Amino acid sequence: MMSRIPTISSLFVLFVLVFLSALLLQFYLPWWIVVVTGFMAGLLSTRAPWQNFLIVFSAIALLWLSASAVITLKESSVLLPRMAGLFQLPKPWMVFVLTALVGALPASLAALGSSWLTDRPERTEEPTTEEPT
Amino acid sequence: MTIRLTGNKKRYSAVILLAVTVALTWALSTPVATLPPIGPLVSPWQGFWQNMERDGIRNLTLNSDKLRSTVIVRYDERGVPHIFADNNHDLYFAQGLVTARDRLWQIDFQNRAAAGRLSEIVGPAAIDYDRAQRRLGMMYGAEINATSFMSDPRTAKMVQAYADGYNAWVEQLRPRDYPVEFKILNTEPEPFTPLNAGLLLMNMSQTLTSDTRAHTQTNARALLPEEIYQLLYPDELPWVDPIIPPEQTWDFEPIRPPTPKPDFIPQIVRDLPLQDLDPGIGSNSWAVDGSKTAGGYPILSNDPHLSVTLPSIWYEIQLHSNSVNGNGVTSDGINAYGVSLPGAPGVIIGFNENLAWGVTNTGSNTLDVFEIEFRDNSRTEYLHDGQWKPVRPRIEEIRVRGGDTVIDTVLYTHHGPVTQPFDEITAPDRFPKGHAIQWIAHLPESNVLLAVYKYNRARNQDEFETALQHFTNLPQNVTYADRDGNISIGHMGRFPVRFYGQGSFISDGRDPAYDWNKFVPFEHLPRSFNPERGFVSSANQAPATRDYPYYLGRHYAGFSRGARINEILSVSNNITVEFFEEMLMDNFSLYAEKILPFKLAHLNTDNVNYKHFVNSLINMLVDWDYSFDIDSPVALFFDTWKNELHDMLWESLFNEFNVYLRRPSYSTTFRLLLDGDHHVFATDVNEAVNRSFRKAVDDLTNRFGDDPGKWHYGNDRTMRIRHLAMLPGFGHDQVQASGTPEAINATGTSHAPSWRMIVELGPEIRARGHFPGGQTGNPGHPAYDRTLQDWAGGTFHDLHFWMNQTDDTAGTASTLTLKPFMN
Repeated sequence: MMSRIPTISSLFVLFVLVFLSALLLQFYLPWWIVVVTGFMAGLLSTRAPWQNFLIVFSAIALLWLSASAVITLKESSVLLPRMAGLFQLPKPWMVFVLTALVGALPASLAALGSSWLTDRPERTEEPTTEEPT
Repeated sequence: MTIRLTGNKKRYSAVILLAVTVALTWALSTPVATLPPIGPLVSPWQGFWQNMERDGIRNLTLNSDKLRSTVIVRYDERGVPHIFADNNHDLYFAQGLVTARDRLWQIDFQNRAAAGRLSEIVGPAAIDYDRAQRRLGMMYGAEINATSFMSDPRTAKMVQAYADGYNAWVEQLRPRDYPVEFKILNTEPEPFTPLNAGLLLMNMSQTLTSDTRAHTQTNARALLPEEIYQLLYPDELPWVDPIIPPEQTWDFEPIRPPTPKPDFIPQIVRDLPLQDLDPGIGSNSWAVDGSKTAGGYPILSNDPHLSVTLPSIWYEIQLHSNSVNGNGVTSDGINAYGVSLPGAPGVIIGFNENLAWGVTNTGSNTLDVFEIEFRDNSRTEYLHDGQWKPVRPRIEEIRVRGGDTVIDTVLYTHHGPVTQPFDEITAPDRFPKGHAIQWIAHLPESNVLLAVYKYNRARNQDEFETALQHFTNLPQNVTYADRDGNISIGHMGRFPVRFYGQGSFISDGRDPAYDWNKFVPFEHLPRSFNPERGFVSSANQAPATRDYPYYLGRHYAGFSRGARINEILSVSNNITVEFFEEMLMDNFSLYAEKILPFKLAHLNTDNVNYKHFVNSLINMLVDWDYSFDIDSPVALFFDTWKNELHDMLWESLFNEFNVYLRRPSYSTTFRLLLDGDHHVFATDVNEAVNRSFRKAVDDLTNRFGDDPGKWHYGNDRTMRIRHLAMLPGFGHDQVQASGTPEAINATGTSHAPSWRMIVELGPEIRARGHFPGGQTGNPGHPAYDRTLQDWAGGTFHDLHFWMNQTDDTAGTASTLTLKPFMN
């Protein structure tokens, strides 16, 4: 059964898939769909858990950052300092960082968790960067 | 170094991590205490990012099956909607819709706050606030008002159409489109019902007519010797120039008030904390006739002073309808321009093709406090007119977010509700425990919206007068000017016929003489038509001299603004709109002019430290023009010194009493000082002048350095514009603005002119104006607070008053088209 599910071994493909699927799903579903996306990425990826974590983190962070940046550039930035005031952040740009973290952190933790959950034999064939203990 | 996980141990860790992730995701989706759910709030697809808007207003077309024909809304460059409709129904539908488009959250929040339903949003912290609102009878009054305006077909249709338009806007929104405050407070817009329009009226009534000094005056009269009491709280404040010119005679037979039983002495109120209400609610309005203007046409001006918040209190709008029916054009067509209150149909302050009007608050007694004798501790019956009468309990259910519903039983007598519980204080700024109130806002069969409906359409003075007869339970001084050359002013409202002093002290709930049975007839109200002097004005001062046959109240505004306005108007000729722009921004304080020379004369600088510094400060005070200009070094010093002196003069007398006593007004204090009635102060006046001076010097040098030349009124004083829900970052904490509550430009610390309007009634109406904030209530739109600078700096804008749908087409910045569904 497990072997019939397609797996992803390329980090680039993984990144693109996470980015695009989160982008599309978010038009219709609540924000936490990025967490589900991260979870699925960890399940389907054959790469090391920490690699999945980083890829999902960067894909979701980039997605949320670029979406918020596009909106800000296209519309206006007057809400940024107000939201920074509300969140008690000293600088308006920190609102972008907060936004990226809120999306990327739970999504990438989900990816790490689901990576640990799967115990595929392929995974041991991946090159490791582990130091000797 | 990494730890390699294998087998069950790894799965175990994975499950824990995933559980943590789920918990984190849940936490980010859930409000924690007063914090909003962060996840949806910051999501670029759902959250606040979706509320960012570029400048301008988008063109838009909407359909509704409730419309009868197409409505065109032309927005001008300042975002003012000009509605052109074929009939009144579609007109008010469109007003509801465009107001919701710009101010949805504000209306929703105001309604909840007025109704005492904030606990539903913010949780247990608002329970006391909500209880106080319910106990004031806010919902009770909204129901009464809604019943009144839903019983007249004109206002019923107007309100229902407004509600339909509002709801049509809300229904086509997706949650991501909701105003950002809904996302921050984690709520959703509620549908608008006629009751909401009633709540809005109650909200305005609470601001304008719910104040009383009955209990503090009762205390003062009971505790002070009669002679001192009269000096401290005179029937008439000094130097006041009343609204109606003193030479006016009253040739009518007044209705006689009943005589109260002589033996009633109200109890001293011991249970309210010692605090004074925030002053500053007031307004100016005046009109001059053609004899005083350069163009020969009347000019009217109005600036209502309210708590300035964001989103703005007012919403500018033009309403135009030919009101075509099957038989052609009817007489209830309208072309009116001005400001509306978000949540109510019509133009509240403004003008139409023939006339203009402005309002100021009356300050007459509009809320009486009654001592009630209950039969026993069950409090099911109370004594009135020698009989035990049943108390009507009203159950108030306060739902609380994250807590149990609170049930409060409010007791109603025929006067009105018992606002403070018997055994606790829920609202320290309100009324004594166990007392009932009678409040004009609760009067049945009062339809202020019908007044608005009619005066928006009035074509001449007679029609305007007819409209004002409905201006009953939200009393206002109404200033008027028209293109026929008339000007007038009236102290409008349904005022009870009172015996002298009634309502200014705690009333006897047993004695029917205190009931509100008869009211001052409309024809007997203080009015002035086309007075000899060529102008009418009001600044919340007493409506008339003591010769006026009815007693209306005694706690009116002091002389400063009113006397200054009349002083300027009486000596000015060839007046222009631009002259009134300057006059509205006048920062001159008659208070300062009155008292500063006295204080300087009593200053003894022989033994002060920093002699050089003090001398230069005194020189600046001597040279000061009494103007509270933004760059004045000494205006704030004068204010600080004035307040310190006031405290020192009264503290020894008032500290004797451990009950709530309102200290005498500034102008009364000034009169006592100037006329040498120094024995009333239980302290040495000379010593107080000098001690308060030193204290003010210490205070300001500590805060702003010891070079008074570098002090700066605009930088140093506190002028704050808060967000309506006090969201941090959404208001402005330090606004640079000239003015003081006692100048015509009555910009205080939070209250200020909330709309300034000047209308010249020539062959073509010419109007200028501005208000602080912006048309849009969206904090993500550049226009949200754009007009703050213009408002503070005195820059006025042309108000585009278009005669028809195609007038000045170049002035259209964007268009909203509302179409009926075609079957």
